[in-house]
Amino acid sequence: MAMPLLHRRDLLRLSAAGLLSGVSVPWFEALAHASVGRPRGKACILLWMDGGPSQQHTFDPKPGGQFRAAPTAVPGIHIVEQLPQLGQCMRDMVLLRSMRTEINDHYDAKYLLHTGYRRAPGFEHPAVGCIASHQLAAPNSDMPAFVTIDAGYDLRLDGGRSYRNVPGYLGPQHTPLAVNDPARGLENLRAAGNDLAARLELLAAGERGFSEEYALPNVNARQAAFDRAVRLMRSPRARAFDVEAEPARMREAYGNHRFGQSCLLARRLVEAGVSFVEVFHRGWDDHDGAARNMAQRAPWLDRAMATLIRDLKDRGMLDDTLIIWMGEFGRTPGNGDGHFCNAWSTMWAGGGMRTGQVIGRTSETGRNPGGTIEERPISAVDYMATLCLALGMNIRQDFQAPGQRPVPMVDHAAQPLRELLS
Amino acid sequence: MISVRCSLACWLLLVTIPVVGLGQAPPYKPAADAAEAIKRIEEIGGSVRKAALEGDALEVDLRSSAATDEQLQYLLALKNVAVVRLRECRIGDAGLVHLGKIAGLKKLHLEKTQITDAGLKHLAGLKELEVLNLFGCGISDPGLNSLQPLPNLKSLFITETKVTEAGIAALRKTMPKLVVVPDRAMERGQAEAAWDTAKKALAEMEVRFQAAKKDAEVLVPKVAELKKKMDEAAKKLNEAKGKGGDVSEAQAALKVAQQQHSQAANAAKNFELAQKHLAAYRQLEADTRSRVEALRAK
Repeated sequence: MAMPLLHRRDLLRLSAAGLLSGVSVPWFEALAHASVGRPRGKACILLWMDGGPSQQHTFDPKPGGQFRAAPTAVPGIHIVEQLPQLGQCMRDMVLLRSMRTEINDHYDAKYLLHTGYRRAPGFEHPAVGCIASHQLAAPNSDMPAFVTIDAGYDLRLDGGRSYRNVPGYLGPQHTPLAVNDPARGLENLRAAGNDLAARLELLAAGERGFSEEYALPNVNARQAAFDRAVRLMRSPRARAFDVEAEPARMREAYGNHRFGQSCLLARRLVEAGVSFVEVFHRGWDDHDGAARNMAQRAPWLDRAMATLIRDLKDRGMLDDTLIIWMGEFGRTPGNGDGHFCNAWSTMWAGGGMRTGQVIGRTSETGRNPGGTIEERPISAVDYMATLCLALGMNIRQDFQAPGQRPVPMVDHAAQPLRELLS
Repeated sequence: MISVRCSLACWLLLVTIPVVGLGQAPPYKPAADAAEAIKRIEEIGGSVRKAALEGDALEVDLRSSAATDEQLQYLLALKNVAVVRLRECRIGDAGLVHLGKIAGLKKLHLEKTQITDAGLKHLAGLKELEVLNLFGCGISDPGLNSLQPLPNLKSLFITETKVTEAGIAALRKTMPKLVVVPDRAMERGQAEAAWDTAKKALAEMEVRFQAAKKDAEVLVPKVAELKKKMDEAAKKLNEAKGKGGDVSEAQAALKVAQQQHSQAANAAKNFELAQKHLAAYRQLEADTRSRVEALRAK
């Protein structure tokens, strides 16, 4: 295992002892001497449709289904006609139509698809965004490595409780920084009053003695966290959190919906060096059938996602940024009124992958079209391994969990989709 | 409150920490070796990392840093620099002189820097360069001529510059395999295809909507009447059952009455659903149309 982990384990112990509980910005990284480290890899924007979006009302329409298929920019690939702009981005997208993930319960499935592990009592596996923070972030960047953006909900707040991204044994410095409303950005970023420097000086005088007398790791760790908070406050990069700084036409292009503005904020953050952004939109648990709700979501979804893909491309960022659209499972074939983990879809875009293709296939005919997988089932660990590989991580490594217990970053039985990666 | 105060105090104690973005970059001092160059790059707010998991190619990331033109000389003390990111740095043509000497450079990001057409000629020596990102730079058609000596250039990003379609067309003649972003012709084609899909879907939806509307107009006023008929049929069935005779006829009559009633009752629901769908399709059509119009206006 790489050296910095020893350091992190110390932090973990401190955290367990409650010594870091007062840290207000938990994603700090202790000041490490940066050398030529692991690669920066790629950035990821995870668009999480909480509650489980219907595959047949989006990326895997079926003949005779409720939504009709329309051709895309790639001959032979069809998605629903309600996503016309996304269909024209198909050359930059990959559809994974054969997800098979074994869990139909909301929270357990969210946990599985965020960590690559089944939920177990008394043990927290790190979320993939935290892993990205641990593996890919620049050690002393003034920007956080992992940010979550709450894009709210539209029709109903259902689909069980939201998943909480937990860094587990990777250490509290990999906890995401949460943006609760894209329009408000990061709150409390500016100090009240304009005498910050004077106040800093005053406080330093009060703290100096203590720090000199007790030069302990926990004191240093705490200092490092505070240091990072102030660095972010003073950093020009922090302006990335402000979508208002974007030209009006760009804000308009992403759409007036909170999801669109969240996608725009995600792009700004990635541009400023954030490694992993999770945008979550809630209320996709369509137990009354997916057709009515999906019809209403389609316009803002189509507009925001197509604009995100095009905007990243225009800026030359698409090859370095992986976009994933998914939920914790799909929905029952037909009207989509139930949970369905046996055969469902996720959409990936950019990331320097071999785009413009479909991986996996579900049944077209029979009593229940789309009910079974006919080609290349993708398990949760296959998915996780592919994601980590696509972001440039070495997936064959173990993390050290408490009790000297090695836990693989991704289950070694995983079969990543190498056909996706160039 | 106390913790925040404490944080600021601690920050002051760590006086050796480089403060980025205050516009006070440490002055340029030549770096004797790679280790020193890395240290200097970090001091100005940058980082040096491996470009990929495999191999020993390096990536220097100086995005939004305080780097100046002469500080780019630190990069020359490093071996195997393959990727350089200088987005939003205050560097200009003088910096390109130094970048032009990084022989193995494959990707160069110069977004929103102060470089100009005149400076691009300094990149002529980058024979390995594959990706050049000039997003938001003050360059125009004459600058593109300087890119012709780059034999391996595959992708060129010139969004939000003064480059014209004629300039791109001229460059394409000598570099036919080069992918230039944005590709306005492709964008227009895709926008029109998206509009076609939305228009076609809307037209079909209008037909379904009219059918649902007609159903609702005809059937909804009859709901009360059909409910009454259904109740009567149920009553008759009960009477027939009470008499103990043959109930099959009454049963069949009730079934028909029930079907008619539910059809009428559903007509209202179907109409409401069709209204929702129609509104969504109209929105899709309007969105795709406005994009086509915006691209045509450009």
